Amino acid sequence: MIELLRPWAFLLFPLPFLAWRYMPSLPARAVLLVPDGVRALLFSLTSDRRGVADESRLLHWFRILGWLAVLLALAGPYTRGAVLERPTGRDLVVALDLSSSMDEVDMVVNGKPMPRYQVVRELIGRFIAERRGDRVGLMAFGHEAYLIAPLTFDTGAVAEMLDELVIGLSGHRTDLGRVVGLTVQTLREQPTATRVLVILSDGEDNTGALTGLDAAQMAAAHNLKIYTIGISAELDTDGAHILRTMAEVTGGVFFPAQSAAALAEITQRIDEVEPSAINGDPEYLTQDWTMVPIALALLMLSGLVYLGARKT
Amino acid sequence: MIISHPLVLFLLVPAIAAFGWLVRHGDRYLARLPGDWERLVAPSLRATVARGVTQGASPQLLGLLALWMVLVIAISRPVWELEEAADFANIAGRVIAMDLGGAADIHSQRLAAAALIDSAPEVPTALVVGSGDAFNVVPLTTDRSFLDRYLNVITPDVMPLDGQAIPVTVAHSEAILTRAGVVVGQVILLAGGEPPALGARYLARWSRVLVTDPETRDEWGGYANYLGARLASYDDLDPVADDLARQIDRARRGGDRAAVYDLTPYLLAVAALLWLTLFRQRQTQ
Repeated sequence: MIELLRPWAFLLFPLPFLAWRYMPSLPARAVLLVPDGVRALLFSLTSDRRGVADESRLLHWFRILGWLAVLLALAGPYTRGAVLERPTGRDLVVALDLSSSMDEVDMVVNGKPMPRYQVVRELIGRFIAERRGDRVGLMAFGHEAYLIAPLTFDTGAVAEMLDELVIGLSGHRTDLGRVVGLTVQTLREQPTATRVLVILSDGEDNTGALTGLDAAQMAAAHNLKIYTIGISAELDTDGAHILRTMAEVTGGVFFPAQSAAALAEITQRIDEVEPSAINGDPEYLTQDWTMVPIALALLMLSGLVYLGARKT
Repeated sequence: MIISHPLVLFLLVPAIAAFGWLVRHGDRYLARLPGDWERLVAPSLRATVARGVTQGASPQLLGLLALWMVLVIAISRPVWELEEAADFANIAGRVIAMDLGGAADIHSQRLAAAALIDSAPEVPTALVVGSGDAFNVVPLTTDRSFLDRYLNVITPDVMPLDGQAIPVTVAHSEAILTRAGVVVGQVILLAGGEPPALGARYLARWSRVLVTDPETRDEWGGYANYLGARLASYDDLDPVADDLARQIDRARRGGDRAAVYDLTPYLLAVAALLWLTLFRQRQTQ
């Protein structure tokens, strides 16, 4: 749809009337005084009078249409194109625990018991897809950690890749230290203002040389903020403690997600703490159509010059 | 100052020529009496009579020429650059699609892909591989090490389906750009060997480039035409990157109003004032 940048320009429409009425007049064309008989003879020699009158009317219309075209150009017609996303300057890595314990069926959705992982996949998929303006990466971890999706603005692609992950892909035990280490390594070279890691785990840090707490201290040294989400209906006390401490050491927050509803609320809270560009006013790429009315005005002007020259 | 459409300024040439002509020969032209008056009035009286008949015509013509010039400069859209245009997250995306179904040399494809990534490392690049079907291997990213990791292991053997379906590969690549909502997108298809048979023509959603071996470049001309793609060869990739850079630059400036100061409205205001003079009344005798 065509919109106008300066619609008030059309208020200038009556100005030609004022110009006609109040602007200094053009000097009169001199008239040759000739006897009636000679005038009649002259008219019989020249082209018919109707043609002259038609040309005058045409000149008049050229002036008016040209004026309208100039006003339309001044109004600045444009159409909106693609939505532009201003980058938030944040790199966000979502790390998903794919160890065997995540396959446990202790979450309830619409009264139906579901495995932890399935609930997480659905809610986090939505959370990722809506992180407009962030560069989002996806990591899967168990006793190994893999970067599944590199940092990308194409959050839809990350959400799609999340759907392809399966339990056990990265081993059946949990090594929280390894996932933090890999994230630090991935983000180290990036010139980003904010670095955020969201870990979704049931908190059972039961393997690896680097403990979750040691890794969190390393993350803090690299300005990496960690948000931890404990996924379990009955979050193990030790697991909750590890996840909470990891978050606190890095300036993040620990969220216990003991139900699907709680997890949904958590994603909203993370959105509030780390807002994405989707909440701001959208900006659009604009297509400027000013050229069209200016071209029309030039066309009218050509007509005026041509007819004016003929008349002279 | 930047002139967005510099070629339009050629329209000034007739106006400047007319202006020059009026200055040199205007008096003689304007001294001509219109129509049959020329035949009626004695030659010795014509100059005197014409001065009265054509009084005011010269300034009016000059006014029309000035109006023409102002409008032409306005249509060229001059802008004053205030600052570097903002770098929008989705301003650009590029998909490098490797056709592994033909007889393309995988090493040439890898080298070409690496060279293309190097030519614009700041542009998010996705990797797609295609044979009988197409797969997205790497999403749009600037993570060079991640791209390299996959580039180094891609071989025709990894494809689960044999065959060659280039239109499917191109469509899959375009779907990535569409989903990501990029403003400027480019699909670069790395092919080689013999071109496949042509199918039904379909419209390109994004700008397409077909890159092939220098030896078989001519044979792929028809296929590039069918795809609506620009044809390039592995030994001449610079124009591909330059083309994308130009498009991105244009989109950036079009997207960030704060980065430029548009002078067109001021020129149009002048044009409006000049146009108003065309409505002046003529005195009657």
